[in-house]
Amino acid sequence: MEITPADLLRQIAGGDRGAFADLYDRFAARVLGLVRRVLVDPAQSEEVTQEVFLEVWQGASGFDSERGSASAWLFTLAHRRAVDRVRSSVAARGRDERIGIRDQEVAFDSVAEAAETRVEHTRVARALGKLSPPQRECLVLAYYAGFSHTEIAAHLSEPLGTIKSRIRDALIRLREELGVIP
Amino acid sequence: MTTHHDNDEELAAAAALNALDAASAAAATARRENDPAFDALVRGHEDTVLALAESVEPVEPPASMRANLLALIAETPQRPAPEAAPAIAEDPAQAEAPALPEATAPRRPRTPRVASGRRYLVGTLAVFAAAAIFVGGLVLGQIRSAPEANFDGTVASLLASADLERRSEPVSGGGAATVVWSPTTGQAAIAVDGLPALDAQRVYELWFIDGTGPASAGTFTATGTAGADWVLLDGTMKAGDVIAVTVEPADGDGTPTTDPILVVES
Repeated sequence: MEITPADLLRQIAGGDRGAFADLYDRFAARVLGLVRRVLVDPAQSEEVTQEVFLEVWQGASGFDSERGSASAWLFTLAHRRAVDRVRSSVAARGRDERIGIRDQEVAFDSVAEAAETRVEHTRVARALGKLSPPQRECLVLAYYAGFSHTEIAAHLSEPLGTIKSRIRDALIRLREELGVIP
Repeated sequence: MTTHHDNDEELAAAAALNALDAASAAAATARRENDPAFDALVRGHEDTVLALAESVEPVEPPASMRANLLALIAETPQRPAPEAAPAIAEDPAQAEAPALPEATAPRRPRTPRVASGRRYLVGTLAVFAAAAIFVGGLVLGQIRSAPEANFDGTVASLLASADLERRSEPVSGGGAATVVWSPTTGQAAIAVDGLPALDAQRVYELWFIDGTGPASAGTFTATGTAGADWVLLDGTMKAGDVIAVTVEPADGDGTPTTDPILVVES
């Protein structure tokens, strides 16, 4: 029977180092990819990715399969750590430059290596393409650049209330386009 | 048929994307614990946000990361499951766990991390355990460098509460803190250790944060030296409140103006 990521997290919570190695082998490249999308800097991205997996080891008992999938738990943790780091002063350098890189990547990303990712990438890129350009910009700034909604409002010189509702509309629209049942 | 306030939908979307500022994020996390409808709103975005994560091109990490991690976990204690966490007693084996190299230690945790905070406060924690049982001069006198004025009768009686809860956290910018509270009385106190001294124009400010926002719970200063200093929080803590510390102007107006350097979820 296939061992699911949720099984692995439960085994890790019980102190199983083999399960930890297995989870790492399955997810490390995707976690580093996400962290690096947010942070850009390769060295900091590796540092944060290592922190994320150490946190997985320490906090696996906090995973509750009733409250969501194992991959959502892991990627949420990774994204949160990357965002924490990018909002800290050290990583704030060259923020405009990073926004530029990110805008391009979303529009013209090169072909991903893993077929699985390529399919998901195409699916998400197509769904993002259905959003209005301002909605897409807000989602990209929030998720891939790690901006808070107040930072987005300041960056775009728009009222916070406008940004809040635009993020909400964008995420709901993306969910519809992806055909995800909430 | 359920309806949600527009603000809740907006808060949930921003929370799902990690797009809230630190103080609002802490409030949203607390709210999810206590408000199933709001939690469901956030979780409704889970698969959409996961798709955003999984569509990113993977980057193969260097082989050294795997080796480092496998070496690290061999000597890193794990946190017990939330419901199994002991209220007072400390596991001596964990208390003696080796410190992690700084470069790999988590830097800005948002969730309580009793295990990693322990290395900063091993001595203090041992005293908590004892003080909770024996509120006597002998034991209280063992608190490291604690000025007697800071450890007044109210803190002592709080530490003696039968239902005492405790969280220990490293503080962003240096030092560590342990928060204790009694769910029955709503009294809370914080012990800070090694926080940097601030200039005369700024103070550390304590906050209770609930779903409606932050409420000031008083201010304190730090000497910048090692040793636990006690501060009793003003006001009453409610179930699910988050306790946070920010650095504020000494003549502040009772609203937080900086990101928290400490966030503790109850």
